[in-house]
Amino acid sequence: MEVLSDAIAFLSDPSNWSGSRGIPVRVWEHVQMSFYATAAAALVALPIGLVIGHSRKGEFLASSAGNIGRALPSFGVLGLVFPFTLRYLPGSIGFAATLIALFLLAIPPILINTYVGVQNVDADSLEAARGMGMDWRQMLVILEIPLALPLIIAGIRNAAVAVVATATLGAVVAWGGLGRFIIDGFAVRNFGQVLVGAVLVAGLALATEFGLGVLERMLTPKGMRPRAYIPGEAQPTVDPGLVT
Amino acid sequence: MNEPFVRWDWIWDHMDQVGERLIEHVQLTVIAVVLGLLISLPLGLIAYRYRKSYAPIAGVTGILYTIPSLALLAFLVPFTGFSTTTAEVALVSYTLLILIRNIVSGLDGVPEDVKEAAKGMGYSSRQSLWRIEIPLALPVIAAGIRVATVTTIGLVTVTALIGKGGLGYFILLGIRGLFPTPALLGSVLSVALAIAVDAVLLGGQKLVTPWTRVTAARSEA
Amino acid sequence: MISLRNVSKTFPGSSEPAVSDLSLDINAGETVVLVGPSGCGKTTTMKMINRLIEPTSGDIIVGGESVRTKDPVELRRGIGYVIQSIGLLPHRTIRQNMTTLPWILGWDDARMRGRVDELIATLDLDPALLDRYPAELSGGQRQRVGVARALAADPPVMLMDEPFGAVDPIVRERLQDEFLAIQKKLRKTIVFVTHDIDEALKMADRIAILNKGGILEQYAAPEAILRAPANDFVRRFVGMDRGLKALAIRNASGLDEVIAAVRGTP
Repeated sequence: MEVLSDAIAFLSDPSNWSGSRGIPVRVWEHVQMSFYATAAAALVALPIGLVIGHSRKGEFLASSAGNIGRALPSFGVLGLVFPFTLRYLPGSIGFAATLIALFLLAIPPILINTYVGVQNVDADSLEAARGMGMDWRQMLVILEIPLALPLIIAGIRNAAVAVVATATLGAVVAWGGLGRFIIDGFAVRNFGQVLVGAVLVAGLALATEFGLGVLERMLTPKGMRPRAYIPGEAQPTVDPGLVT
Repeated sequence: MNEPFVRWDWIWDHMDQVGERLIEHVQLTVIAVVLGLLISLPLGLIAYRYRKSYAPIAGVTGILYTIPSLALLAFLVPFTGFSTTTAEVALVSYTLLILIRNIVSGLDGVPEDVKEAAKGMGYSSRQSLWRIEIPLALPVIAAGIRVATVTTIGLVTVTALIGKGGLGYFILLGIRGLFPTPALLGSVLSVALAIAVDAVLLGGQKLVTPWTRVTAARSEA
Repeated sequence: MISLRNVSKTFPGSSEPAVSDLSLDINAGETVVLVGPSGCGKTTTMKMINRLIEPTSGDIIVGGESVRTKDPVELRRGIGYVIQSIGLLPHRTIRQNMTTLPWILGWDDARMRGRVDELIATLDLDPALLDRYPAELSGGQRQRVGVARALAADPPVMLMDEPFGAVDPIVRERLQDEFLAIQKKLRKTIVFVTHDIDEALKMADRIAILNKGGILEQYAAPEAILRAPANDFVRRFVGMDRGLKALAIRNASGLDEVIAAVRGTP
């Protein structure tokens, strides 16, 4: 298989392992970008989701935002952001466009899962807690967050995986990351290079998915039913009953 | 730069292309979802009947779903080239997890007592499946189709990178040429298409299942 | 100990009041049962005592202080609260569930451990359950844990809303008997809500029979209600036509009265 031998050739070439265009740099770029975008989205979406879930107000707004967010084509968002960064942030076109697009993409899954997770906390436990004399801070910390945590982590997991995948497209807007190997490879018809890039980014996405999946299981409070683990979008963002 | 941000004249001049690409976009989407359903229905039914097969089926489709779209296209290109086939294989792969998950979930959601009543009335398990369980699972399955369709609309744009793309063609054009107009055109249209189709299918989903509109009244002890 | 003074509650969006102008006095150490048909406002009334529901008008005095002057969270920490579904924290062990309020109040570990030992003795709970999770317990065990939790910080007042409702009749009877025994020892002031007149007759020192809209039809000791029902509503609600109620009373004060009750004569 020609592609395979080309790929091996690409990997054996030491110049592909060093310098600002080498494999390690690209991997690190990709990881960093994904991390920052997801973390920033979490910073914004978590508090909003907690408030909405706890107070049960603003749900319609959040679920609409979530629905729309889920429907957004990631390449479309990139295409939308790019012209603006091109005009207003010419210094770092690719980087800014990619970061902003990824940030926007990561918010809906985190937001939805957070507020659904908090809302799903057993109403009886909440009533007993309130009747016992817990204030809203205590209810949040003792009851709502721990019980909502698995769903919240699942939301972050969805977001992170989507971000890692879409960051690949950053290469199209002149950013770096692992997509660079795919795009450049297409351009010069070096499918070995393409394969290397594809395998690396697929591996990264899968690692993110499984890694955070393990975290999610670890953080499921003992005494709760363990959820069957399936890679891919976790329950609420796909479950139609929860999306109106 | 004193150029206007959006060159409407360009859009006007290229209207016929916009139409073509829109049609291409819709075609790619419809083929993908239909094929996806054709594959997912039997797989979903098997996973539902033989519960042990669910984990491997979900596992494989889950892995396919997690692989970034550009990477999946890249894996396929050496074999099927820069063609519609490549695009469709990738697009169909992404629908599988969602559709299968929802088919199984929908069937799981059919209440036990309904199934028992059917059995008691003398329905064979095949009749029960087709006349009772699948219709009752329809809301969840419909939602899965909706999500799969909307996701596919988004992914079609990425196929621009292998020469297809539907409305994504304009996005790529705009990015490569550092020319905002087509990039904005392509992205706004693809986003609008996704949102519109989502709303329409949601409406359709609610029409098909009037009983899900009723919310339980809170009781006062 | 507890005084309801002209308490009314109309929920927003409702044309009928859930509770209208209810006045009731509850003495320290007594068990008062609020009973009535669905919609009579018994649970609403109970929840106004710990301000889970705010009265539209009127006042409630607990221990000499109006509940309105106290911070609701502080108020609730001094009142035990038990609901039908109990509402244990599913992600905490039984021991942790029992000491939820003490932990919030800042008790030290030794004191909490001591209290748990007292509670499992009082409520006849198997110590092995302490490290299990609520999902692993039977319904009857969970009810007992719920009562233990409410007693943990030793509140003078307890509010109980159908606390034994979620178990089968055999277990319910046991729980009722056990609770009566505990109450004999502890002498808490208890407001107990139920829809079951038999439970009311069994558990109460005094029964408040409520009609729709929170109208108080009769407020008296169980024997008094059976001997002299205030009106037809009470008579029907107590089931005088069935004539077997008198046999359930602990303190029947003489054969003549029992026979009179059974025959249903006014």
